[in-house]
Amino acid sequence: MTKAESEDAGFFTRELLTTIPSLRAFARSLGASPDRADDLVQETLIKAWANQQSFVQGTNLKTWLFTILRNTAYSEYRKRWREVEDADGSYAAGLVSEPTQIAHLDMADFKSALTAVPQEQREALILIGASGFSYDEAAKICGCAVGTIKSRVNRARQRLASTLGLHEDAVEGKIAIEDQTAEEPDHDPVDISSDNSR
Amino acid sequence: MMPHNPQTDQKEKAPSLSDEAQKQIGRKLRLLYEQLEAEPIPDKFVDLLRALAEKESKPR
Repeated sequence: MTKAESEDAGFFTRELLTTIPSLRAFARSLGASPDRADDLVQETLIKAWANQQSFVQGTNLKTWLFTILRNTAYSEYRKRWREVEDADGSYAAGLVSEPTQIAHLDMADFKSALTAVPQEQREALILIGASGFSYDEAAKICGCAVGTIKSRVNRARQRLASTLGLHEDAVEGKIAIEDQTAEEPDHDPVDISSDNSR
Repeated sequence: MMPHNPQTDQKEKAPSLSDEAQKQIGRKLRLLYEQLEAEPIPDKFVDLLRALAEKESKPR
């Protein structure tokens, strides 16, 4: 290994390290238990390391890592992921951090409301609203159109507002009907929302 | 009135969501995420990356 390569490797390692907290937060907020989230992050790191040659310099490493984590979650862990989420109501429990850090009394309500948001909408909302990605980047991570991300984020917000009673007016029935047609025609390669389509 | 944030500016049908409701949702979501992000990185990840780096640096 040349000196330059060695410096590259050091840079890559540092970048991986600094992205770990965000990767864990993403996995956890998607519904993985703490153990599952760490398994996912570990696998993501191993895959990223093994494929670092395929990472295009100058592009966003965080976007690349999130894509790997998401693909890992949705392929190998797909079945168990869902089981974990549904099994024992552990989603909200899995989100419990240090209790003393919870500043708002209604954070528990918010977490619970988040569980009511269909997975792919929740994922879009988290990527845009918390992970700090642009719509473009989120679309790359999820392998779908930018418009699909926008629509999902919008519907996730509507769903949360409705669950939390944040709607000011009483047109929720109208929104619910509009929502049925709001879904864009393009389909995700990974359809994990089929159980929400009733 | 806040200036429009291009990231939250929806071109689609106007949601009946007030700015305040959107802000509340955004705040809570970020708070939740930040709490999760604030957790320390477990040693096992640092060990893993070190092990990967060492393996890499050995001549093949």
